[in-house]
Amino acid sequence: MASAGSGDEKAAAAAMITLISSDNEKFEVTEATATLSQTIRHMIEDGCTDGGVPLPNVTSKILARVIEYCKKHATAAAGEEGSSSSFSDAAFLEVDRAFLEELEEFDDAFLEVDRATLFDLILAANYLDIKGLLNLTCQKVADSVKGKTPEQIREMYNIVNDLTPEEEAEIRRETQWAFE
Amino acid sequence: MLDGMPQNMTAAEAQADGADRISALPDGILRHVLEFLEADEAVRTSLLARRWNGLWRFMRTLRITRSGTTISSCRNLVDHLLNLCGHSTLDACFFSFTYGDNVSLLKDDSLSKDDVNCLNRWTRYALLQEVQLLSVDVQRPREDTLLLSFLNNLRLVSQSLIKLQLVGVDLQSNSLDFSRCLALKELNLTKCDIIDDTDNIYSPSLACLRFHECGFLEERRVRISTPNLISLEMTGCSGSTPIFEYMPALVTAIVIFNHKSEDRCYNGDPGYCADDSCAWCYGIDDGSAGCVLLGGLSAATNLKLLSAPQVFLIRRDLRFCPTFSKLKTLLLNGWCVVGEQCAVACILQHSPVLEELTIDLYTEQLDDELPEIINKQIVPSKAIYNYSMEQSLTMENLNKVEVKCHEVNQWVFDVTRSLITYGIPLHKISIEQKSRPSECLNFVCVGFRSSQN
Repeated sequence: MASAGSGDEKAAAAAMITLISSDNEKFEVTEATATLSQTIRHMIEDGCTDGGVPLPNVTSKILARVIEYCKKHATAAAGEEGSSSSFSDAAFLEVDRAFLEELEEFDDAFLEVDRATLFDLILAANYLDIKGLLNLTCQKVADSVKGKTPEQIREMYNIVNDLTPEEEAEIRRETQWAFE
Repeated sequence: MLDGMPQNMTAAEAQADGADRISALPDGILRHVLEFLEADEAVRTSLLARRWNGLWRFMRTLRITRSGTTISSCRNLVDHLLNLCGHSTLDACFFSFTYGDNVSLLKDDSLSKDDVNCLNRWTRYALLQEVQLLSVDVQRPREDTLLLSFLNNLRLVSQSLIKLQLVGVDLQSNSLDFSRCLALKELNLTKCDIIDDTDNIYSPSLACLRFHECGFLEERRVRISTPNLISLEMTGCSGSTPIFEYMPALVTAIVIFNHKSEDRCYNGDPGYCADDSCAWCYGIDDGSAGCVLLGGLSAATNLKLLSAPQVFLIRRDLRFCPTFSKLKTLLLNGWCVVGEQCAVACILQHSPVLEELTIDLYTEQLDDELPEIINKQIVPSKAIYNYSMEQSLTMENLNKVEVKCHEVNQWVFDVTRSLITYGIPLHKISIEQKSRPSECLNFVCVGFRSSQN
């Protein structure tokens, strides 16, 4: 039974999906990588991935980055499953820790992008419904505004303050408990 | 012009230099960004621009982290948040408070009853708002002994709660009865004390349970009943080890007893010592209860059983050693080679499908005192393992036995040799010297060739 299971996994790993970016570039990825996206997972389940999956909202530049993320995290997901059902190495905790550290380093390096790319990644992660990538990128934006004054945040993200002084005073009054 | 700008800018507009791309994000994503901020900071983003005003009201995750100030000093903030975010349900709530970190400017920086009441009120409120992940973390100095009774010892009732993480709170009978939290899958308790009238910890739904540095009762054993558990971790706990009921779905268990465990004999005996008046060996448990721990773990596929050599609980349980019918991977440390009778042989005899055995003789902080204990003339132990010398070991599936050590000495050699006497073929045994793995392999080969002559 165990061998049949691993056979199925191999078959699933071998299945390839073609993703087509908005600028018509084609990317071949394994099903395991593609299904980190819930959007694509549903398409696969509905059997509508023959002839490729068009992704009109994602450029080739961004799609390449998203696939890079999914590839890394798909192996992580497979590793996690493996470790919970049968870890071959008895020192499993140490292995997990090393692997998680590696993944963290990958994520940190992955986020070394300019702001425009970061927002494109957020939108792609949202559209493709990749929870891990959405969390990672949103956290990055949140970290960038942590501890900053409204003025600093506006400057950083080109936000134009369209509040009248009266409106601003009203907000301060309403949420005075958050300024204590 | 800015007032008239549509919220959904086209991609071209957004990519133009100096464009405000963050404000152009859909509401759902902006809300998600806010959810990674401290809750009060998220509220204050209302001041950025009209687009941001009131977005925080749709947050479904609240994070309140404070240090150097009391819990009740956040009352105004949290009360408002829990009321005003109340239109929708909450996904997650993180409460984290640190006392006595020396940063505090307050004179009386210790927990008060008022603080406890605040925290419990917020917790109840979060549960009412169908929170799925609840984390309550209170760090305070050891001297601070005020009871922080989680939920005032009321029973938890929630259809939504999936994961509960508690640090530094006190739990007792009712707050440990999870029979009305049928969605609860994961419970993590760190530095929590299990107190007073507690007899049982019960959850019919729990899949993952972790106790880390928790304090159990000293005078009696609590019974843990989690029939659907898949993964168990119990590390560095003090007090008397709880009795675990059988967990048929268990896959992985990690148990680490360090010097804090009360399940040890102060005569240094590995089991039931010769001194009948020894309170630690005989006082709270005469052994009539059968297994404390191992019976509950007997369905596990992967086991890591580590113990300081003075803690006798695992050796005690070997008197009633159950059959580990699914056990494939087993990691032990120095405790298993202390004493006259070999615990390893007993476990091997009860693990018919074991594939990998690792004996780590140099586990940090656990095996430090091992050499002294080995060298000391120990009192003959009354511990009798459930093991028969006549019955040979069937180890058809065992394909790897690894002994890890700091230095390859006579003692490691003896341990290895006894493994061979149990019938484990030499070629399946490897010795890894943690500092110099290559040299030690050499040592083993040479050593055994000479021993066979």
